Amino acid sequence: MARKSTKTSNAEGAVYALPEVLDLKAATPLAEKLMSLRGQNIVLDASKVERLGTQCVQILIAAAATWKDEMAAFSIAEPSDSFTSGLQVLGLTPQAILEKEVAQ
Amino acid sequence: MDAMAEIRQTFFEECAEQLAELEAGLLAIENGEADSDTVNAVFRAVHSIKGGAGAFCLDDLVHFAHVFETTLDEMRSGRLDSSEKVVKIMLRSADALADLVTVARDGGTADAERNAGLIDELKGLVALAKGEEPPAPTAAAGGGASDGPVYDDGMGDIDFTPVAVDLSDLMGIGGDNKFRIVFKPSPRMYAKANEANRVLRDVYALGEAKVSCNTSEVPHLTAIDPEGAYLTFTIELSTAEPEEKVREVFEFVEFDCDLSIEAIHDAPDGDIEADDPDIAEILARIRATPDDEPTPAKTDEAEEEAPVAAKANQPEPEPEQAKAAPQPAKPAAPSAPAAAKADAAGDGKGGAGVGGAAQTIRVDLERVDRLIDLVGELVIHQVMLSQRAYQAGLARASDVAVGFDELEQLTREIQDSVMAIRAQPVKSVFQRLPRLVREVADISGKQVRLVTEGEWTEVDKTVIERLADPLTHMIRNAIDHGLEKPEDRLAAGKAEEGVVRVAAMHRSGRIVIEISDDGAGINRKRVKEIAIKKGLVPAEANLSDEETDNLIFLPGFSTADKISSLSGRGVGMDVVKRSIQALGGRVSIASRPGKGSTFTMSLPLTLAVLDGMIVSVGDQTVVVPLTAIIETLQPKASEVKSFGGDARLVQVRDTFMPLVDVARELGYSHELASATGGVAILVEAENGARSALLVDGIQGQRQVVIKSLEANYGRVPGIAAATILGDGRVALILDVDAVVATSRVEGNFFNSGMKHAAE
Repeated sequence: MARKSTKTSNAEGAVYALPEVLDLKAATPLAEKLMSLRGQNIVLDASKVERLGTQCVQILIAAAATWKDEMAAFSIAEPSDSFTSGLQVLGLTPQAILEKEVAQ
Repeated sequence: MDAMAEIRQTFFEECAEQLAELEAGLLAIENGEADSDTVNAVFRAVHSIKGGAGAFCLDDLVHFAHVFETTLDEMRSGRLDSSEKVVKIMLRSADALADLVTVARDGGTADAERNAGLIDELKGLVALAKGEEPPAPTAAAGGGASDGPVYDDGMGDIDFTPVAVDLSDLMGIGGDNKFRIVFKPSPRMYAKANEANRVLRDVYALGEAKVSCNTSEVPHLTAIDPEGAYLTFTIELSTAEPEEKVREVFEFVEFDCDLSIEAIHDAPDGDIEADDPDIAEILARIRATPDDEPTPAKTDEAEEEAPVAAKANQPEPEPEQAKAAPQPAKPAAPSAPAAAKADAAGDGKGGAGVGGAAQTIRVDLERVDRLIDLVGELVIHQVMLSQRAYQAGLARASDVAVGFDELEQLTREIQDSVMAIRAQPVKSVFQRLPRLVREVADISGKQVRLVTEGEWTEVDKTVIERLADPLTHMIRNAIDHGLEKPEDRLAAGKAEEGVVRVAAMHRSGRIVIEISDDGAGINRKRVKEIAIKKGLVPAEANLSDEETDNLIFLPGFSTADKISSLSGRGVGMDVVKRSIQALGGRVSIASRPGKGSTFTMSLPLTLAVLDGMIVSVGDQTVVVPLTAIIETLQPKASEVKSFGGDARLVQVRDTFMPLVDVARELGYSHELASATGGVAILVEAENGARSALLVDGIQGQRQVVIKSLEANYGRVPGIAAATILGDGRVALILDVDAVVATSRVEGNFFNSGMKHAAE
């Protein structure tokens, strides 16, 4: 997770454990949760994720861009296999999510 | 009309257009004039019909269209040759499709047996096309969109046990077919609980796939709609499966996503490489606007809703993707007509056709007619006004007079433009002919090739509408009576296949339509025998060839020995002739034994206005259509020669032509008018024969509004119609051909042959 080191301040930051199921229904709560965590460094713990829906991926991408925009650290820790393969199916990697450029 | 009925009507209007497109395309293919765009257009036409039919649950139609489309797809991808046999089957399928559309619209039953047969034939073609392909089970052909779902509702599925998978486990085996798929789900797709990753997994199962995801549209977290759709996937798939197998994967989401599937031949070409993502991006951007709206449907209630319901309720206009038609037109959306137009006009190679196509609107014919009536009145009043002004002593050079001139020009322009609204190419009638010819040829067991010419010749809509019936009848006649049986043709040293030629052209301000065949020509001996047997002519009558030919126009005449489903019912050419005459037209025959016959009908271009020369005949004012006039002259006594009885000739330069005394022909006077006291108007009849009309004087030249005499009074021989002059009086419009012809054949016991006698 290369991004971790980019922010020199690194240190603490909130850790948010992503829920096991990130399906369609989880999209709105996830977006709300992430919104509430804005403005601080964040580590998303993806170790428990078992199911990853496309819309949640969109939200994670948006979040990554937002954090980057706000110069705060955003990282994904310990992605589960399901998480990684879920991304892979969509042609993405955790890296790709983190590197998402700022959208207007 | 409620909204649904309105949408339905739009759908059927669309269908009619698509069917015309389909037929035109297939005929072009048949004639070898097709390029890839034509094939694409044909494919799109069927696809659009299928898509629309799906929305209205017209299962039969969908099913047939689906099979048809599958076959066309083979042709489109070049796996199926457009051989004659193939095109013939396709043409018949197009007919069947048209029937199904009609049945869907008007009720009734389609010929299920024939359709089933055609479906089998179409499937046979698909199988044939697949001949060289690696194992390709073609369940696709039979399936149809109405089959059960291919996959369930995605993530809500409890049986779904996520396992750590290496993607290679998911991947099928690669193959020779390479496709580039651009797949952009819309929020609706997610709202129906269809998961993009589920679809993608299905794609992986087909072969080796490389997916890249375009995330550029994902907005800032603050702006994101958690249930929106922002990702676009580009998949490079290499598979052993054929294209429709790939399409099948998307079958249940195709209404809810932007999808383009494109076969890549050879090594990926640099151009396409660069083009496609760009276009995808542009399209995605266009799409982004409506899609940003939160979707009303909730995820949990959207169990497995057919695309249908969502379609019909979908209010927002959808920019249509003019790609190689993975997406059907959406008749349910208000924007559909325009979109479908664009779709049809799009070049199929990937240009976004939305902006490029000509814009059209549909207008009630009634409104146009009303406008034309009003403009007609305007013209009359403008003429009246200027005449009154001059009568009141206005100087011709005054400013007011100049103003009147300008007004006249303006009215004229308005009139021309309004007429142009109603002018349509005869193509719309000609288009129906190929099918007619095919059917008649089938029934009569003859081989017929139809050649049409001048289909862009424009003529007023009212004329077109009333043209179809007589034309149909004449073509039927040409095939049934005109052309010989194949064996007889061979015996006569002709090609087995008969040719029926239909040509339209403008000639002397009228539209002339010629229907000719290369058959045996009219059997004059037999025609005469029958006419005598039926008591239509006296047995001792001595008839010229033309007169004999014209016997077939007599009521009750039929040459058919036996009554077939095509003809022989005694409703024949007399009906044709009457309906053409009612239009102010004429029909004539030219027949050469062994070489074939030509029927020529000539009709006025419009039934609304006419440029005419206003002349005095006796104390009447008569209008001579300007289009018939070549020149006018005042005959000198030395130039007028009389011969036999009171017939006269006038010498014009070094030719003689008959001098027709109009006043006498119309019954205004019984005395011979003095040739030197009047003006001779040189006219040319439609057959090219020239005559001189003798009138008392010329008043001027003007555009007149035609008022039908038949509708308001009754048919008068020699008179085409009437008009209202500037002073409010009614003037009759001369039917030049009829007047010229009558003057020749007076005393003849029937007057059908008159035109030829003038020659």
